Formats: sequence, C-alpha cells, structure tokens
Amino acid sequence: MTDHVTREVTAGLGRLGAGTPPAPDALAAGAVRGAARVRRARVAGTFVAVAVVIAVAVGVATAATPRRRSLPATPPTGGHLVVAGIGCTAFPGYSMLLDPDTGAYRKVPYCVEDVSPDGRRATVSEYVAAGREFRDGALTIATGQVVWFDDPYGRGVWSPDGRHVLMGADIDVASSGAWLADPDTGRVARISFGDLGDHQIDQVVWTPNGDLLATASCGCLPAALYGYDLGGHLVRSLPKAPRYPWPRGLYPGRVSPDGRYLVETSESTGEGFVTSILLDGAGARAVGHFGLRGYFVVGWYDATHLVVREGARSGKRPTELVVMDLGGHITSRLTRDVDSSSSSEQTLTTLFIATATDATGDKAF
Amino acid sequence: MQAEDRADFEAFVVARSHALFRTALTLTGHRQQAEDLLQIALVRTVRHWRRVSADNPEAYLRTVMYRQQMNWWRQRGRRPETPLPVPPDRGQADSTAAVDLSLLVDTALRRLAPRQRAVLTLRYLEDLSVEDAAEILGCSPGTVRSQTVRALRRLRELCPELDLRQNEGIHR
Repeated sequence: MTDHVTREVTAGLGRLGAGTPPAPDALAAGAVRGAARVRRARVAGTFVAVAVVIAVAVGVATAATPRRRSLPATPPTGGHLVVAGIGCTAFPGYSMLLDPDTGAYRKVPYCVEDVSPDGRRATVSEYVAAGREFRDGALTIATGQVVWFDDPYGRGVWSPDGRHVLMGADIDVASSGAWLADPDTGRVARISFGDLGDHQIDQVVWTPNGDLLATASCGCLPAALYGYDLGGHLVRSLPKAPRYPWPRGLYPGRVSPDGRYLVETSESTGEGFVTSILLDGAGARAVGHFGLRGYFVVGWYDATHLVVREGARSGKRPTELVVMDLGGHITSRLTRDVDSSSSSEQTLTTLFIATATDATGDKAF
Repeated sequence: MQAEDRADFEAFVVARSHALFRTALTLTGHRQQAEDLLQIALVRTVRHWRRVSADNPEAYLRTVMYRQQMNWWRQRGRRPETPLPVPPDRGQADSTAAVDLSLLVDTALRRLAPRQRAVLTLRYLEDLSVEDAAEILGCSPGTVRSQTVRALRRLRELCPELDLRQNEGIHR
C-alpha cells in the first residue's frame, strides 16, 4: 500500500476512534458489579451441573471402562510426506521446501501457503509495497519460478488433482467470496455457489474427488454441509446431526483422503479444539471432539490419523511432529530435522504436509 | 474482590479507559456499541484481575475486545443492523478539498466488515505485526494477511477517490 493510502487509512481510523469516553469511575464500578453478577450466576449453575453429573455417573458407573492412551499395536501406515518449513515471522519471509527429486531443501524467499499433492509446486505469498500488501502465486520448487495470480485472494489450497488452487476459502467466504486460480496461467475466477449465494457460506474445502464442500455457521441456512461441483452446482446436501456443539470460526478444515471425515479446528495456534465429522449417507455427524492442548493440525496422515505439530508455546522444536488418531491420542512421533543447517533457526513457525505419491518417505523423515 | 485489588483495577481504568475506548470506538464505529464492548471486556478483566494484573492487563483487555467484537459479528449472522449516528449516504467528492476525502474514507471505514476493520486497526492504528495481530484475533498470520488485502481492496471499492487522489498527486 502506498504511503498516501496508509496515511489516509491511519488517519481515518484515528478519527473513527475520536470521542469522549465514559467516566472511568463509572466504568470500573460497572465492571465490578457485572463480575459479581457473573459469579453469582456461575455458582448457581455449578450446583445444578454437579447434581446432573452425579446422577449420570451413578447410572453408568458399572458400564464405564478406562480409556487406553497407549500406542496401538500396529502404527498407522501413512502415505509419503512432503514437508515445508515456514519462516514468515519477519519481512521478508522465507520457507524451506523439499525438492522431491533431490531430497534437498531449498530456501525460497516466499511464505508457503500449501504444497501441491505431487510435492513439486507450492502456493506462496510475498510482501510487496513496503511490506504492507501481499501477492500470491504458484511456485515450481525445482526451478524457483512463480506464476503470480491476477489478484491476491488469500491462502491458496491445491485441489486433489493439482490443477486448481482454491483461494480465500478458509476465511469469510460470506463477505469476500471464494476463488479458483489456475496455477499455470495465474488467472483467477470467482466461484459461484448457485442459489445459496456467497453470503450464506462460511468455509469451503476440497473433497478428495475434486468437489467443494461448503459449511455455514451463520444460522441462515438449514444445518447442513453443502457439496458443489466447480461449476457452482449443488451436488449433495449432508444434514448435520449434532452430537457435539458445532464450533464456529473453524480452521483450516480438511477432508480425509478417503472422503469420510472432515476435521475442523477452532484455532490455528494451540489452545483450540478439534472436531471430527463423519460424512456418510446419513449426513454429517460430529463423532470426535478434543482439545489441541498446544498442538497444531497440519494435515492428514492417513484416513483416520492426523499429523500435528507441537506449538511454539510448548517449547518444543518446530520440526517435531506427532500422529494423532481422531480421539486425540498420540500414536507415533516424527522427529527428523527439516534441515540440519536451518534447524537452529527459531523463525521456522509452521510446517505443511502434503501426500506425495512419488516421493519416498525417507526423503521427508 | 479485595479492596486492594479493586483500587488497582480502578486506577488502571482511570489511566487507560480513554485509549481503550478509542479502540472500542474504532472497532464498532458506534458510541453505544463501543461502551458495551468496553464494559464487557472490563467485566471479564476484573474477574481475572489478580492473574492478569501481574502480567499485562491492557493486552488481555484488548484481546478480549477484539475477539468479542468478532463473536458479535458472527452471532449476528453477518447481517448486522447497526444504528449509525449519521446517515450512511455516500457524499460526493470535491476534488479540491482534502476534507471531503477524509469524510469519504471515514464512511468507507464504517462500511467495512467488522473483522476487516479490526485487522486494519491492529495493523495500521496500533502498528502491530501480522503475527501479533494474529495472536490477538486468534487466527493464523495468513488469515491476517488475507484479511488485510481484502480490507484494503474493499476500502478502495468503497472509496475510489483514494486512488484518484493519489494519481492526482503523482501527476502534479
């Protein structure tokens, strides 16, 4: 953004916030009174909740069995993994990308958003205009060439066949729409969602067969997930059967390789929770719900396991990854360094994983 | 709440309420909503005062405000009916008067989605990095970057005079 626009925006925001505040003593007194009201309500609610829990516990105590948290006898056998380390905490950002042909990591001067299914390309973004604006494109890892998209539309996620890039679908489709980019030409086209319209859609994710799955949390649609083809035609509707509360503001939302599960997370960095949703003929059912406890979901390991990394707040090295089942139990650890020369760099903040059919597992871990 | 804690809290509110109210007003664009937002954040802060006062109470309170504002927006089903202190009609620009551009920018900023305005506030008014803004909003840095781009694009759509005025300046 130019200095001129920066000045105008900053000044405008300043004017927007100009106003005489309420009397501070009244604010403080109101807050203390409000907190006391909340406390009283919580105490009353706790008595009710304890009574309910005791009643339920007595009723099911004989049937309850402790849940095992040990490793399974047979670890899951996932596909081959391609890893990219991201170091975008400062301007300009950079990433470490695995070249599946050589097994070497390349340092590229971009922030990687997603790695293509074959591991050979990646959607990237870079700062332009003095670090205030960004542009997105498709990078060929081996050559370093980037096809820049016509216009920036947010994080780009590759389609399962690697022919399209879904842009901006992880955030606010309702206000800004979702877009499809051609990674070969850079052309971008807005996705139409038929009669429902963009404004009712919350998020859009790819399904393994190349269709789109849309979610809505606005309450303006019947509780369901909606499947679209790339032409914007509604191809299926999966009614939601609530078992767990359906969370809001989900990120990133990914369908399992076999198309049976959609996993959504409440936050991108720790302290959130994961909801796994079974997609079948009966509709969409939330079948699992657990706290991330400082972990960060980076992708699917196989049809029933996730790869997650330990968050920066946990004090672990950024390259330490674990495999979790859909109950939140750790089943194995993946702890190879991304690159010996960069392993000491503290700026590696995120890891992306894509399943690459032609990369060998040894090259990744 | 013990008397000592309450005195600390009141002193904090006296010292910082002006700046915090400005932030609330920028986020909501509406005085009554700003007062509600600040009051809710203060209630939440006072409940955890002993813990947050030992660290950085203002950072905690600001985070509560930003996230609360995002939640309100989502709960309203993205169809907010927001009372405006002035009619939302868009004025006509007088190319010779800088004040007109300010009015148009102000109107455009009010018409941004709350989340977009929040991102711009964090990035430009509070001058936070992408990562710090993401931390406050509880989202990823990539989301903050995307929202920033979209907010600026939307702002330019709502107020094309921004770019026109810039071009005039270049050609002058």
